[in-house]
Amino acid sequence: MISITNASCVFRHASGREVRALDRISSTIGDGEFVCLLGRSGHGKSTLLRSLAGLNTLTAGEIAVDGRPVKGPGIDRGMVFQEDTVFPWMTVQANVEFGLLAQGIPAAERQGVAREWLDKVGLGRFGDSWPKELSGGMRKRVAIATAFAGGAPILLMDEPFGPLDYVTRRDLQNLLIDLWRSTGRTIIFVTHDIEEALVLAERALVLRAGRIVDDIRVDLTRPRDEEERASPRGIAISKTILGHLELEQHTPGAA
Amino acid sequence: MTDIDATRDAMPVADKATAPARPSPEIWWTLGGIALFFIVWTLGHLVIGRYLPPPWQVIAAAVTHFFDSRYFVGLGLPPGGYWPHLVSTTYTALLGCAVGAVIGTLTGLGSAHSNVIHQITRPIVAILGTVPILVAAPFFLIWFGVSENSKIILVAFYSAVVLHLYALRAVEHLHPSFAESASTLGAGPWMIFHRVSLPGSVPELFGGLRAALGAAWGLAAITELLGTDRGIGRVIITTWGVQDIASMMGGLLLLALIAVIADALLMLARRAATRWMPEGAL
Ligand SMILES: Nc1ncnc2c1ncn2[C@@H]1O[C@H](COP(=O)(O)OP(=O)(O)OP(=O)(O)O)[C@@H](O)[C@H]1O
Ligand SMILES: [Mg+2]
Repeated sequence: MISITNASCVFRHASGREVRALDRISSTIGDGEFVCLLGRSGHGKSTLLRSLAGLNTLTAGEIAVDGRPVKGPGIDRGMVFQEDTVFPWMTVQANVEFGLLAQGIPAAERQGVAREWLDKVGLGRFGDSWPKELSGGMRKRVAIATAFAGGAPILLMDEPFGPLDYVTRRDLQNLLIDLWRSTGRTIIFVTHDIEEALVLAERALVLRAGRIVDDIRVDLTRPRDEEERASPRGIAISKTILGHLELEQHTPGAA
Repeated sequence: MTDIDATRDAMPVADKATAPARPSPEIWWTLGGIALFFIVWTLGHLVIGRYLPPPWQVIAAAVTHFFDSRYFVGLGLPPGGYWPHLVSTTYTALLGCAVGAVIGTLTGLGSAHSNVIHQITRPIVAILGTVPILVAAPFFLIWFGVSENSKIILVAFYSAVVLHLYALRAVEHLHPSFAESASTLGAGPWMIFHRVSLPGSVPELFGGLRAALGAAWGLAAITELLGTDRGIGRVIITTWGVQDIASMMGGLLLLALIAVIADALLMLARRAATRWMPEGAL
């Protein structure tokens, strides 16, 4: 279980201006949940996710995983970035093995686990390829396989499908749902796309000006196809989220 | 389960990989450039006269005195023609460059990784990097003696500064999310260093290596001009004493030939080491 207690993060910009990216956030996220973090640009989604990953230090408050405070990155929390972080100088197979290598797992076992995950993301025959030989969508699959293969029970994803086209995005969303259901891992997924949240999430946390302004149970049945999303409940959730995202009086940082 | 989709995605790549290699016209341009060089040289000879011997005289000198030359011995050079000197200069350049490259790469990558190392090395590199290396050469001979060592140290010194700067820049160009991604996968500082920063810097390090090696030949030869018992510089300064410009230039030509071969081998090594890079990315 993840517990976030009064988490605050203030950035001081070079201009001397202070930006309160996170403002006394408190929440808990249970094991196996699929949570989407929603919010407009600049309202603290990445800051919260990076704080969970241990890549960003809070200025006040605490984040704890199973009671242990987060002090830095750890193998209990994997991450998929928006940027292409697949190492171009390693083969696809070596990329997926990276986390296992870091954990000192012997070569034979590493190879087996990595192959398994490559199969699961549909890249079973691409282990020996260089990342440059793959499309952007395929490289995202590699990043997902790498994060899952590392074994972390909590996976953090920061707009991972942002730069992809609509169809590829839908494919990857379905893949992610399948992997989440078959592994039971906790997934915290940042997006600014309401539709993506409706397709993926069990729960939507809406951030605004560094605060959690809503915590919505996305209790739609799966699969979350067009019809399901257009059901009265689906529309109600969309409207609620949209209400939070819509034009407002004050914006903390950049718009 | 989604393998079919992935195969479809991969199609353009497969097409590209099987595309036949067209014979390139580039080699003809290269040969043309070499021909042009010799033509200009010959024209220069026609204008300047005997102080700029024509290519054939220089090549003749390089060939006749290559392995054995009584003439060289008569001038006070050790027996064996150009050959032992060529070996000596090549040894100096390659060893000096290699030692310097390793030191510079380690300090460069180190200071990209650790602010402490960066703060320590920054003023040192700033001072050493601005010392005109040729002006420093005589001091190296004074400090380390007229020997192979001082030549090697001079070349290593220069290569280290060059590689340090290239390595530092290489890591700056590497997107920080690579290292962050590695750390979320459980990699410690050492693993990030040798599995992320180092391989990610390889393309730029080869750039630095090329610059350092290119300069190494000249630096080695120049220290030899200042005084040494062996090396192409020694041959040049000795034959200068008897106004034998063809033999002087013969030494220069042989050194240039070695430098070109070394550069070509370095580029081959770079190709092999950077097969992972997208085409046209450097
Ligand atoms: N490293 C940093 N240094 C200074 N300010 C920062 C830093 N990171 C984030 N901020 C500030 O914190 C605020 C929240 O940024 P954050 O990146 O968390 O937004 P976001 O919700 O992820 O936006 P987007 O959807 O555009 O990615 C912004 O105002 C930003 O300027
Ligand atoms: Mg963001």
